[in-house]
This record gives sequence, structure tokens and C-alpha cells, in this order.
Amino acid sequence: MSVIFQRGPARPQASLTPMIDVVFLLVVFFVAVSQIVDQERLDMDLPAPNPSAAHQPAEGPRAVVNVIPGPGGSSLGYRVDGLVFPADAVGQQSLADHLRDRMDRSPGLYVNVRADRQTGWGWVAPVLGAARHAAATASPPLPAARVRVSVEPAGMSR
Amino acid sequence: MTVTPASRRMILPTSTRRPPRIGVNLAAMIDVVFLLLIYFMVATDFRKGEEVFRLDLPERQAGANEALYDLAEEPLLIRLREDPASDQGYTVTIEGGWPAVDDAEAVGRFLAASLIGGTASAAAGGDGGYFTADHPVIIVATPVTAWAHVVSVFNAVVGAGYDAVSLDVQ
Repeated sequence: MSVIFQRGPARPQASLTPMIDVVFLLVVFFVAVSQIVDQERLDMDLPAPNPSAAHQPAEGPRAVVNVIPGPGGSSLGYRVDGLVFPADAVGQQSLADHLRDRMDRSPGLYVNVRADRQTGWGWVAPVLGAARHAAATASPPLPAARVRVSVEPAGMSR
Repeated sequence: MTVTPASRRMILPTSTRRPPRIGVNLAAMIDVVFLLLIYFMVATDFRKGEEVFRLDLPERQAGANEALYDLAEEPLLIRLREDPASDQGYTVTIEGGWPAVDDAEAVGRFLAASLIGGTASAAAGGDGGYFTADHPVIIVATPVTAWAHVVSVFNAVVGAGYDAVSLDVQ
């Protein structure tokens, strides 16, 4: 005896779970990346030597010091780790203290210096001095400050 | 006898009834997540990662600004000054009676030709150059010199093959 089951029409359904997983991962990725860029990099025109002898930076702990561009090639201060230090003697000392604290925690710290191409060298030099002073006063003292000068990658001049 | 839906339910055995399906309506959430994804994809500015020049700054002795120049080898001094009247916006000179240079590229060419064992010095038919790759080179710029000009000269020196390059304020 044969039995006939009554079936309705086939209902094809797409499994949405993997798609939702991937989309969530993408959203989290974009949120994280945008926050990192906002915190570390100030929008400015970096020098763009061409041809460039610069290279891709090695991975490692870093403190990105942004020389905030001001009118006429001056600077409005120095921004690092979300903090802004004024471009005067007190601010430079505070910057050095902050970098020293970072070096105490990470002896292999790189200090990345970002400055606008129009900014005067006299406003950038204090950052190098602060890094040198921080390395000398860190505990234990470091033989040298590991400074990196940031430039636009080759072929990316604005 | 008329069979109504109500009477059919009474007739059917309870064992054939399926449990009610409880589902979450995901459509609204997917809409929002897709909107977020599109927003971030449009708003995110993908740029190639910045490149860097490595610069090690050793400690200077307290009160001895001349320590930078107190080296085993006499450093090669390259002086840089902002000069709006010139074509490139700056003037550059190499101290020590070396040939005059016009810009950063000329500095790079001179230093490459002066590098002992460098390919440029050999190609130029030189006697092997004057400086080793670790010869100290100090770029001394006036405070008003644009950072781009300082970096261009720094780039020329590094590109010529020298790895002991420092910066100082005039």
C-alpha cells in the first residue's frame, strides 16, 4: 500500500547567519580603524620627497607627535596620545615628561614626528629635543631616542 | 454534516499539531547593520601607510651643545637657509670648501659621488670617494626653514647612502 503525503510547495530559504557574522565583523573593523586614525593622525600635508629614500616603518610601540600647523609656518602646539601641549617652554617640558613616561613603560618606543611641510624647522626641533631629553631621563636611561620622521609615501603627494 | 474549521480542530488528534514557531524578525537589524556598513565604507579614507626616516638621537651632555660636533670624525656640515628669492625657496651650502650646490638633488649627487665604495663614485671614475657611509653628516637649518626643505635635504643625504645623519638648529 502506498502512502501519499501531501506536501506544500518547496520553500527555499537563505541562511542569513554567516552573512550577518561577516557584516558585523566589517562594521567592527571600520569602527576600530576610523578611531585609530582619528586619535593618532592629524590631517596635514606631510613632506613628500621624490624620489624618496624613506621606508615602511617597522612594527613596535610608538608615540605619534603631531606638530599642529599654525599661521605663517608656526605651530599651535603638539598633539600626542590625544593630549595637546602648547608650543612654549612649559609645553615642551610637559611633552618631554609625557614621552619619558611612555618610554618608562615601553623602552623600545618609537617617537614618530609628523609636521606639515610649511611648518618652520624651529617648531619641529623642540620635539626632537623633547624626545632626546625623555630618553636621557627615562628609567633606565636610554642611549638614544628612537625618532622617526613621517613623510608621505612615494607617489602620494597631494 | 458540515465540517467547520472549529469542528475540524476538535476532531483532529492533538498529537498531529506542530508547536508554534517562535522567530526573531532580523530584517530591521540587517537594515541598520547594512546602513552602518555602507556609511563606514564611504566615510573611511583609505590611504597608503606613511613612510618614515629613522633618526637616532643620542643624549647630549648637559650644557654642552657642542657635543653633537665632538665626534671622532669631523662631521660634514650642510647649512640650509630659507630664501624665497631662489627657485626652490631655499639655499644650501656644504661647508669645508666643497663644490657649490644648488638644491637637495645636487647635495645628493655630490654625496653619492663622494661615498667610499659607492656605485656613483665608481661610475664617475673617482678615486673611491671621501666619506664612509657612517661619516657623520649634520644638517643645520635656520628656524624659519620650511620642514619640507629640511626633509628634502635629509632625504637626499640618506638616499646617497649615509646613515649617520643628524639635524640641528642654526
